[in-house]
Amino acid sequence: MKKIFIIIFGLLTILSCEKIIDLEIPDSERKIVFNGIMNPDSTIKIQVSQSLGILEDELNLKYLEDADVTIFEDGIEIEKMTHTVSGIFTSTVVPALNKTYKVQVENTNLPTAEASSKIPELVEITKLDTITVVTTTHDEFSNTDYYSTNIRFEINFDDPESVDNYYFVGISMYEPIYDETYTTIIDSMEYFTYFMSEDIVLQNTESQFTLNSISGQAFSDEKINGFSYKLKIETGIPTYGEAYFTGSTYNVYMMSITKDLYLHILSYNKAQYSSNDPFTQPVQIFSNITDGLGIFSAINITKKSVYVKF
Amino acid sequence: MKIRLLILMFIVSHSAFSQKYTISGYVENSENSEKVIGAALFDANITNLGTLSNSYGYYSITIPSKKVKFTASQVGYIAMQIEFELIKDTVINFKLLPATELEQVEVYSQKNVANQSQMSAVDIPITTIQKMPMLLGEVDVLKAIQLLPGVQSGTEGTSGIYVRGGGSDQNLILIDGVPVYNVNHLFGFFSIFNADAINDVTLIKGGFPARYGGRLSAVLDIKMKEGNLKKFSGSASIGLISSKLTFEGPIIKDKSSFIVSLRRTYIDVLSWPIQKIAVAKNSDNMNFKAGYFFWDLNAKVNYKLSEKDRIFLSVYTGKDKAYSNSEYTMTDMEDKLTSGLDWGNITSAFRWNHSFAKKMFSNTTLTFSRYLFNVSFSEYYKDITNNYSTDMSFEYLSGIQDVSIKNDFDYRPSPAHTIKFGMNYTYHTFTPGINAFKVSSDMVDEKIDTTYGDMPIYANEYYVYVEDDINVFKNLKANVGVHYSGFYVNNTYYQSVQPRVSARFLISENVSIKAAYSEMTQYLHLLTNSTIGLPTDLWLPVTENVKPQNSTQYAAGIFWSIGNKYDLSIEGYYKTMDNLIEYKEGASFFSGFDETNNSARAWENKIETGGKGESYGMEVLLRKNIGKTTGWIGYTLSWSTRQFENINFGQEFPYSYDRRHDIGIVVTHAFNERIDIGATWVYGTGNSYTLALERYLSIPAYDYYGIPYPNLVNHIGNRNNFRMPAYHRLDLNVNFHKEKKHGNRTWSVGAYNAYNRKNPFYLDFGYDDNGKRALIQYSIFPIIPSVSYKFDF
Repeated sequence: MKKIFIIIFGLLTILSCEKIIDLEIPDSERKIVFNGIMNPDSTIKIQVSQSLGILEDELNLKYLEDADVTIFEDGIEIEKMTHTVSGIFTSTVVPALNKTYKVQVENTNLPTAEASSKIPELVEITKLDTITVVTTTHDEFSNTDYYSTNIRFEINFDDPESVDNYYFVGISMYEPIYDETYTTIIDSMEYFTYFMSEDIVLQNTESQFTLNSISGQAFSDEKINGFSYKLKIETGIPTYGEAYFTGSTYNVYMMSITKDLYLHILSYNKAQYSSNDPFTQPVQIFSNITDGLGIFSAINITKKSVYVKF
Repeated sequence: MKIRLLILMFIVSHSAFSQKYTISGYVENSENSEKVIGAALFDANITNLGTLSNSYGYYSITIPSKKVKFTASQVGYIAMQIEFELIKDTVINFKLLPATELEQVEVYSQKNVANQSQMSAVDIPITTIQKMPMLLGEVDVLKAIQLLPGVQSGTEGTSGIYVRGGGSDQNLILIDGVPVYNVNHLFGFFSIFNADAINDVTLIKGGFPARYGGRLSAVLDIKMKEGNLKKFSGSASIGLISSKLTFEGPIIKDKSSFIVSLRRTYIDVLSWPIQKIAVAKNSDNMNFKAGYFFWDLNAKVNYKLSEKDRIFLSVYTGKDKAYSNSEYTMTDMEDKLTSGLDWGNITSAFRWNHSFAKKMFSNTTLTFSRYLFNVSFSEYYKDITNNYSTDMSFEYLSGIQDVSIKNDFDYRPSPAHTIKFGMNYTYHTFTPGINAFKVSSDMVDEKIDTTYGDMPIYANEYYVYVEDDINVFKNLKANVGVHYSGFYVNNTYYQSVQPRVSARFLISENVSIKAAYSEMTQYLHLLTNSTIGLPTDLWLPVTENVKPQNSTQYAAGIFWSIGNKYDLSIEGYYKTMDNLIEYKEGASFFSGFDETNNSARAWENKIETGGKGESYGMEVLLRKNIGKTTGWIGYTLSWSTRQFENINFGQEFPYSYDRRHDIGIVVTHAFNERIDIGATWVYGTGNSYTLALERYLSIPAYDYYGIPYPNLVNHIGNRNNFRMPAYHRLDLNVNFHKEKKHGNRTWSVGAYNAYNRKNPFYLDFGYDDNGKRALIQYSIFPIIPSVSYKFDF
């Protein structure tokens, strides 16, 4: 039915007259943009740039290499960050738990932007189980049964009570790299798999998101606060190279993330999903940068691995 | 001044009161016996006590025994006066003679805008609407309403009305007392109301009398004609897109009459030969037919059982349909495809008017209203070689259906009190969206015949009300009432007590100040996210999670009747609304089809609830209703906002139809009996619109191989952060009348958007002629000339 409306909408567009109108956005309204995800295993790093007018060419994208970037720990200035390449500023600061880090970015002619974040408490995977699930689908027309085999991961964790927790879960496996004859596996490459879930905590996520190169989905503890919870997700078994590719190690990554990052991921996914669709409601992408744009946040990662034989 | 007296009936009876007697009866149009609504009836001799005829033309007034000059007056009619000694209860049925524009008619102060206690209400004479220029010459009541202050129009060309910052779902639109749920033809470019069948149009924007309820922002009360009791008459018209035929007359003279009015568009029929030629050129084996049309039918019969009892049966039904049928035949196969999209209303009412004694009038109505939206697709495929066939069909259905009974009483114990009370019960059936899928094939034994989606929801709604229009003392009049309602759905019960007060204080005979307070509750929500009137808009009930909408409105104003020719009103209002709903960010009507909408009440997962709304503003209306030149100038200064916890990060944002300035000018002028003209000019601040004004670099995105790349995203600062360009338009129309042997013919020639203003329909980003990114405005209506022919017989 949507197609019918798109046709009608398209016809209205074709029949209608076009007029290019002047849109004035003063340059003074450009903002500092910075993005950075802290984690307790590495130093703080952010990328700083300047926002573009909506009509500006992408080639005009400007990294603010001469910006003055300062890190504060619990309100005390601890370091000036150093520019490396393409607007990326690095520091020697490894964020510690229970401390609040603020990054302040100053640049001539632009409002000073700042944002704060704190490493969230790590929630460990207490147990990881896998089950092979065979699903049968009957096709009425060909009167044929089709089988698909999935691996179900049951990820157990204890959600801390009395605090709002936000998580990000992703699964990776190792794809074999064959020799020239395609008969011998000589190496493997880790890649993140798409997964499906009917779990209540994952129902509001629109699609997968890649965070620090880990692809997965974000969720909150709104429905499971304080529970020892078993999260169930499924991924398909590769159907190629069956003779040689007989199993793989799967890594389950579970991150504790900040609420700001959770809101950013959700709104970003919705915005991507609804872009170019005239029938959907507009989506504003969440930013926690005061007087600027982007996201400055923190994660805390745990990982468990399991070998699955196909 | 010329006063004619036409009294057809004069019945005398004895009264139970010693010093006061009751005068009662009906006020009718002398030419066709249509009831005259809102006529002023008063004693012009000393007491100046008066009343107004109700929605059925009935009036009753009890005044002291003495010599009276009893007068009936209404705009557009020649006033009548009878002088007599009131010594008994008396029935007088007035038959008012319509005045032509070229006649000078006196309007008595009892009828003027300053005198009535009701504020924020406008009657538009249907004769004025018929002279106004309209899109493609199609006379449209809702487009005329859009020109009034306090009423915002929707997107260009559409018939949506947004009253005092309210949504399009917050208008109670009644045809002969029956609510209508979808008033749009052709995606809102035309409304369903056929002006040829309409007798009276009243819009109430605030100070709602207690008899109305169920919606927050406005009441649009449309009364259909009842049919000529005297003689057969009618009209036929042909326009650019549609033809209309109206026929009315007596079934039994002066006792029973009927009216039937039919309208249909015919673009589809005209295009069939072209389609046939085009298809034949491309293929010998194919038949193809597609098109769009709408039609509607109004019919009404009435019967006078006795002087005290009349019954009426009225029906409105209409439908829009877009369709395509194709048939492809080869030697070895046959393929038939049909698809359709149709929607429409049916409303019907059976009404019984009864007058008890002389002071009480009752109206009992049984009503039925249904709105259905249907999408269908089917395919029949036959493999002739292998001798098997497959038949598949898909259907989506949504809608709402009401069955109601209501009783309204009108009790006028003395000139100081007009008491109205009544009750209503409605049984609602909501069908939020059912999908039916059927497949049968010779290849397999098993057939699929499945239905899924949101199951129907049944709900019970009732209300009772009482109001009294009180002459507190000579200069002070008040309408005080209360409306109590309840709604029961899925074991959840809501109720609401809604006080209503309005008062008028006469500063002088022609100047008054008025103030009103009203609380309203609405148990229905309209789920809509389109700026045009898509038939996909879903009516839904409150649930345990989705609470009833409430509003509180304060209004005050000054009203001045200038020389009995002009009415000037200046009103201010402040309105708050709560428990509003809105689609969630990123959601749409269609998202349910693509995702996980198979669970019951999936729609609840797509909406934000608990929204707040605020609107305030000032309205000025200068109006002239009599004489060769009639019309109005309306100006609105207004603000309207919305606030939802999960939209715009919880911050307040402008409503889509927040329009700072809105001007509507309507002028009709009769040069003589053969030529009259109409002109309208509208101006409105541009609609607020959500537009990304910046882009910025976000967290890197990753390709399939895990390689990061720069990721530019759009930044929307605030919901509805951008103003579209201002809207303005001039429409012109000239009517040429001529008396012919069997009736009167009228040629109408007009132009919509006469100076070819490119008004915004929607905005999108694209590229200009130099390949640079640009904001593109799409407009859909350039100057559109129209011509139509009408013959009244």
